[in-house]
Amino acid sequence: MMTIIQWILLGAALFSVGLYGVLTRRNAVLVLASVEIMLAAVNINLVAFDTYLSDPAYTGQIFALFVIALAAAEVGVGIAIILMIFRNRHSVDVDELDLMRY
Amino acid sequence: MTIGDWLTESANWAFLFLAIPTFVASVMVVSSRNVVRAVLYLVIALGGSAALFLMLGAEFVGWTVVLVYIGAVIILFLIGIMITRAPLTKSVDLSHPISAKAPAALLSVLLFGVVAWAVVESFGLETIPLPEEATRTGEIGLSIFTSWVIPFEVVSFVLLAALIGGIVLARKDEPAEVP
Amino acid sequence: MNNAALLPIAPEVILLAGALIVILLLVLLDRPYREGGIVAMAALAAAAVASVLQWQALGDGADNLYFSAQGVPVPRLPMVVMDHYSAFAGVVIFVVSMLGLAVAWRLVLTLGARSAEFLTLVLLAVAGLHMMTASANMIMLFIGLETASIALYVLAGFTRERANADEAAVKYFLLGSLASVVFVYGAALLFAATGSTAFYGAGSMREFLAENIVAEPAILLLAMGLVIVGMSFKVTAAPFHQWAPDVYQGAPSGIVGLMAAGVKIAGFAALGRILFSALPSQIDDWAPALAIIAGASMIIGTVLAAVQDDVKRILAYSGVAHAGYILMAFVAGNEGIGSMWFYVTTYALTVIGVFAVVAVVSGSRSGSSPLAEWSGLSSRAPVLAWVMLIMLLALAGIPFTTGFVAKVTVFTAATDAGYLWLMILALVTTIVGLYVYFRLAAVMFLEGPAGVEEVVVPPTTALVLAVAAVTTVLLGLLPWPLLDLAREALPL
Repeated sequence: MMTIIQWILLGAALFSVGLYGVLTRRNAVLVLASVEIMLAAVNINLVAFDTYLSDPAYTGQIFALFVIALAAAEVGVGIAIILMIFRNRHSVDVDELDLMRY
Repeated sequence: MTIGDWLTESANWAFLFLAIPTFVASVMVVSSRNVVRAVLYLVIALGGSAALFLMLGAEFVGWTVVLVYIGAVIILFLIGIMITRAPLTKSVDLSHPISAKAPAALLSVLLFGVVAWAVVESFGLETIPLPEEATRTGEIGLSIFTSWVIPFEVVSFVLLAALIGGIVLARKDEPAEVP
Repeated sequence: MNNAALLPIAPEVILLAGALIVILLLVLLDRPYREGGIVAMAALAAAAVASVLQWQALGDGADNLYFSAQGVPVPRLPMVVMDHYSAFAGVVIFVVSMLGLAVAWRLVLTLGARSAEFLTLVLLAVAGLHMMTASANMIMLFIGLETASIALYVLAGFTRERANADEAAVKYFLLGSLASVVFVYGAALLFAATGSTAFYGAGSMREFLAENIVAEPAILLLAMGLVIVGMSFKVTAAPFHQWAPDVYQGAPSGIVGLMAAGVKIAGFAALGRILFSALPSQIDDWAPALAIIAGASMIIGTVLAAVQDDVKRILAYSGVAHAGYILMAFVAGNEGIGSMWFYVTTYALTVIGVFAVVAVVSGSRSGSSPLAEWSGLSSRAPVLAWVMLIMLLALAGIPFTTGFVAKVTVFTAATDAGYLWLMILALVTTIVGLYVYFRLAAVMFLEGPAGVEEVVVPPTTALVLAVAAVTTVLLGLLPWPLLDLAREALPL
């Protein structure tokens, strides 16, 4: 029998890997790619629990679909912002932006 | 249930067969030194997650991931790389130096540990019923257009905002604006 | 379906219609910049009226929950909720947005052909903000959050040719999307723990938690933690505030007030919706966590505000400290909702006024607003300086302003809930915070003038300043009408 924890652990592992990427990547495009991994982790959790709970309204699957739609919109805006910043400074290095200045 | 019992189940072998490449590919996305390869590993990671959705019987979600993510979002990423003229070979300045990586790695491992502890604590060895047949796309569609029709409509707000936002930021216009 | 059935979603429908009309005007008329602004203002006003009508309809016993599927044999899930909480949030958000848009009026006119996009994004952002407060389902709340966030990312970078505007946009975007994904992970785990994303109705989270006494709710604790962290990012509570100073400094001054005030109102209201409506049984778990975030925000916000040299950064850190004070109201649970509303409302009005002054002093397109530009403001523009002083006194919490009443109410709420240490900490940071605001006041009143150029206050901004100053003093002297309304604005 498949256990539920193997699915959540996979989700947690992907989420942690994505978080590591967000914190360590300097290229803005790759930071965004790491966020996408975190979103994929969330979707695995949602769909696994949808199956586990056999929800009559398919809440988990629908939630995952909305997350996918919103993530696609976010990537569209994100690439536009990254394009804008590249036009201004010919670099997409987030270090030059001093992300953690106080 | 022991590890031995767990491994006798063929579904778990299928799970491992899909989960391990998905995990390895996502590690490569965050660590690869070649920006194009990092994005192509993202294809494998997302493709793996799509296959896992199919395994769970979530047909529509799985194919949506393939169409939207692998079909559209990855292309956006590649366009982003192309336009920002990222070096297509290995480069060292894609990530922070090792001194900044250690705390990040620690935080990630800590997060994983906390989540792992919480799920084992809460769910133990409860099993997930393998679906006998896939959730038919028609049922999902019916559900979206009945129970979930309001959020479905409201997503159009987001898409409109993203459309206008993308145009307004990326468009080159008005010579007066050029510094 | 009769007209009354559409009342719960009326504000959003009006705002979307307004946004579409603004775009259409661009096609139909020649240079409809002013007309577009008027349409946007009218849409916001109509939405505010709709919220008032909602409040009245509730008194007549209108239905609270708005379902997707009417009369279809499928699971009926409430999606939108209409209660005093959402109606109050609507009035506050829409009125504050009208004031914010009035401040941005000069900016809108200088944007030329891009003004239509600007107004559309403002309307969509405001619709998203209100949706966050009126959602009866976690999925709706998340979609509202994303609508507002995506529109605001773009608005932050709208004057894109300026170097720190693009920096603001990219920083807001990357950290904002990280916050969103943390929030949605929390929502997914909440779904895992309770089997639902609904706040109300049969099989909702609240019902699940009331029926099942979860012995070791480790996953529930984790889920609540992630949701709170995600929301703390949005309302700039420490230690998740890092983006705020840079974004406020980089974004065009004309729109920062709307960004700062609107997101705070909606963020706190949405956090309240989740905690008070869906998880009231878990108050012993989430209240201490919020108390710690509140304490950290007060300390970090006050200390770092004292060492900044840019007025917008000072105000950003002051916003962090104020987020801490507002969170104090949350630890009191249902008793604190009235204090939370009073604080959020008066703070939002003050912040709009303060950023309106910033937009006058440093220009509505500009990013930074160094202290040097402010020296001797009292001799260059005495009225403006005095108005700013009133706002600063309110932010500092001096008696006879709304800031004082708001602080007293949240301090009492926290003390009554047994968080004496938090109250003492808040008292200390308030006293330290006096330095922050008097430092700015001293620059304005005691130092020599920075230049001879005349300070021009556009008429729309003057109107906003008058409204903000009058409400700050009037509600400071006679807070009871608003306090009574705020105490009534309880979630379902």
